[in-house]
Amino acid sequence: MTYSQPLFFAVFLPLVALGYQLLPQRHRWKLMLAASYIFFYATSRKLLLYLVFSTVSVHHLGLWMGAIHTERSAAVKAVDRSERKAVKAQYQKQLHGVVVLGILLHIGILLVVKYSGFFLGNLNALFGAVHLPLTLPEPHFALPLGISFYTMQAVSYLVDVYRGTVKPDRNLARLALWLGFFPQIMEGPICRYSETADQIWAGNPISYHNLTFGAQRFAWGMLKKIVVADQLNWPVKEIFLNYTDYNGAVIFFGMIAYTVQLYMDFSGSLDMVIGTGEIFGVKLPENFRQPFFSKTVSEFWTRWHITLGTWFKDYIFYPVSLSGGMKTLTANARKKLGNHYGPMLASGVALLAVWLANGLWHGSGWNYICFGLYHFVLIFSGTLFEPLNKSLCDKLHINRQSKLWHAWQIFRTVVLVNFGELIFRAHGMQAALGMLKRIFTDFDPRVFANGDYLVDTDGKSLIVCLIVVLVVLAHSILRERGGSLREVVARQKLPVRWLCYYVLILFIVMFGAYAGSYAPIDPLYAGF
Amino acid sequence: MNRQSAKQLLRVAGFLAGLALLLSAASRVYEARDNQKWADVSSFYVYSKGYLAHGADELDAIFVGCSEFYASVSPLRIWEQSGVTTYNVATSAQRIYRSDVFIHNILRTHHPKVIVLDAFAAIREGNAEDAVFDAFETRFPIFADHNNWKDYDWEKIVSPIHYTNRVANKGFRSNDMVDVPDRESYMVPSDELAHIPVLNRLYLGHIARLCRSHGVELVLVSIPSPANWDYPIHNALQADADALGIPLIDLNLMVDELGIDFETDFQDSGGDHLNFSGAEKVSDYLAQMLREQYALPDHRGDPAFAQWDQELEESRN
Repeated sequence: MTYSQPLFFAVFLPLVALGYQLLPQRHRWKLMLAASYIFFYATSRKLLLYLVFSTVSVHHLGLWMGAIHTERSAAVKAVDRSERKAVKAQYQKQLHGVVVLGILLHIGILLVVKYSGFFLGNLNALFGAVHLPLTLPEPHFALPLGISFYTMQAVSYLVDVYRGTVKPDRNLARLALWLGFFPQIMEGPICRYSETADQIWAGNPISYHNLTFGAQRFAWGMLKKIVVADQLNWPVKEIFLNYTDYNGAVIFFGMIAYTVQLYMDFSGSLDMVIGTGEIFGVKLPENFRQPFFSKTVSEFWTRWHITLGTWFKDYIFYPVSLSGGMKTLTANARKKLGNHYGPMLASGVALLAVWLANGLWHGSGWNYICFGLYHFVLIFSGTLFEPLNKSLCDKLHINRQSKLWHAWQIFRTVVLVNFGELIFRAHGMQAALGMLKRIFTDFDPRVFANGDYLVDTDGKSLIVCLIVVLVVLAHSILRERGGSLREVVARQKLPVRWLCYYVLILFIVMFGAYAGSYAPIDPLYAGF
Repeated sequence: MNRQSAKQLLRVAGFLAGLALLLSAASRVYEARDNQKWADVSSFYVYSKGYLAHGADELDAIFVGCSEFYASVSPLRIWEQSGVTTYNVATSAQRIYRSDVFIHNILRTHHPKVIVLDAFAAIREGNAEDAVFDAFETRFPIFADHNNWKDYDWEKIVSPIHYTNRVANKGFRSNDMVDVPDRESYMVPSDELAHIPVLNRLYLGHIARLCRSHGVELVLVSIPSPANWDYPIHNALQADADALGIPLIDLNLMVDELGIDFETDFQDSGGDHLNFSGAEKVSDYLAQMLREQYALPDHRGDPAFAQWDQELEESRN
């Protein structure tokens, strides 16, 4: 069951909302927890046990750390000031042991279930290359729904309890609800315990405002997913699968189409997710902030899949860059390389860790690792060459605050991101390199004039996609300036409001890529 | 409930009612004007809609089912043998919730005396997502027809509905390929009951009530298929059919009576589908069954049905 299917939005969600509203507030959490587990079971069946195991283990590990925190506080108070540092260090070691255990347990499960086949396959290839007569079995595990997402939430909870920023939750049900909350389990956003646990648990009644605004957000997401993303899936699938049959211009079209598909699919799905949360009065964090208005690749990753980026920042980048070893490295490097380049060594190491993790998080394959490394190189070199860049612009009298320069930066970022997405989507690194080579060596623009670029699609469908893309662009410009389309519409008279909503819904119904020869497309990020 | 809540509830109900009206209107606009060409729809859909080009009272019986039916039931053979007029509304891998949509649509426009439902379609496990979508489609055909927008212009929108494609073989599609299935393990007597999904039972009940409300006889027929049928399935479906008062004719129990030759009459995958040779035997039986058990008329010689003789002749060329 996915969000864009009638079974979810016309049956499951209305039934849950109705039951939720009719129940007394103190019992609503039970319905939400049951609904979340039913949603999970509908997709993953007995793999639900993975989620249950994660929930129970995280709960008990959190309580264990809570007990250590309490003991530490009491022990520190009981000793002289001169002994407190040693006592703290002793308990810190215990805490550290528990959180490492928890992280290893959950990341370990993820590694085994998602990556063991990849790593063992590569080992076998290495054995073959050195003529070692050894072949290890390459297991293939069925992945439970949202394992990459809820594992990160679980780890964030453990680390936050370790750091003392969150008190461990004694209520297993509340933790289970937060971890398995059905709107977010499939594709995120990756929420922090302190952000959403209480909101989800509160069971506040569904207000008219939340219902209508949530439904509007949901419909907006469906527009992007069903009308654009699912339509573009067909040419993208064909071009990436059989790129050797097409010239560089068609592959270039496929690359652009994929970036658009990915953005519309993911942001559209998140609109549906956030809209669903909004119906129940739960404000889930935003995951996109007009990413294609970014002036640098670094900025892009603060606007795209925001919750993933902040997770990596808080739980990998800062811990690595601020660790004792890195601090020492930075101090020594400053003396030799100066204040700009000195700290870059440590931040470079942390950044590399982040981007390797980012690449691997998306999938087990060399193209995903290369995708991560590609962005690492872009981001790191951006910082590395910033003084040179600034100097060059000053010499050429280029105003880096001008609109023209910003437009150039945005264009450059869009181009770089597109190439990264090609690597991401390709069927392996060899295919990625083959596609890139064709774009640069076999580009025949006549395909755009004679229609040969229309692979597994037609001009009319693409025009509809373009219309929606332009509407989304206009909306993005409004959002960039702090505006809200929903608020603008909400201020209109009833007939105008209803007209807007009817147009939106009928547009989805009439131009969506479903039924007929269209097969349903699962949300792209549900596969990660 | 306070006044404001009541007002808000009315607003929501009013909005949804308006949406339902608009979807119904859109369904009328996007309804196909002819079944000659469907924008972006594969040919099997054309075959399944051929009944629309026949008169409302022209077809005595309509077959609804999956590939078992379109490979095994030849309406023109039935015509030749009995003069009974039928059409084969069969699509690949059809599930019972899809059959429900087809039967609902058939009974909206046509008046067959008998609906013959494919037993294999009735027992196949489907999924809830498709079932819900098909329920939407039943109420609002725009969900099925919306892709027609690519093929439409103003002239088409204002033109009346007139279906012209009677489909040469009336939904029958088979071939001459031969595959020999194993007979030893086929239909070994057993008292066991196979599992038939609850959803299927519910839909079967709904279809039975739908047919009854239109005064149409419903009969389940199971085509010989060693790859898909066994005694436990027969037992389970027989029990459900008896409970719902639907006759079940299980041709898997009658292969000798039909004269099915395991060496020559199946076309694929260890006895999944019958071929032309097998289809003739099944069609001959069905022709006789429809005449004798349902007293359907013999229209041969009736000038009003002369086109059927012509279509039969054309099918032989």
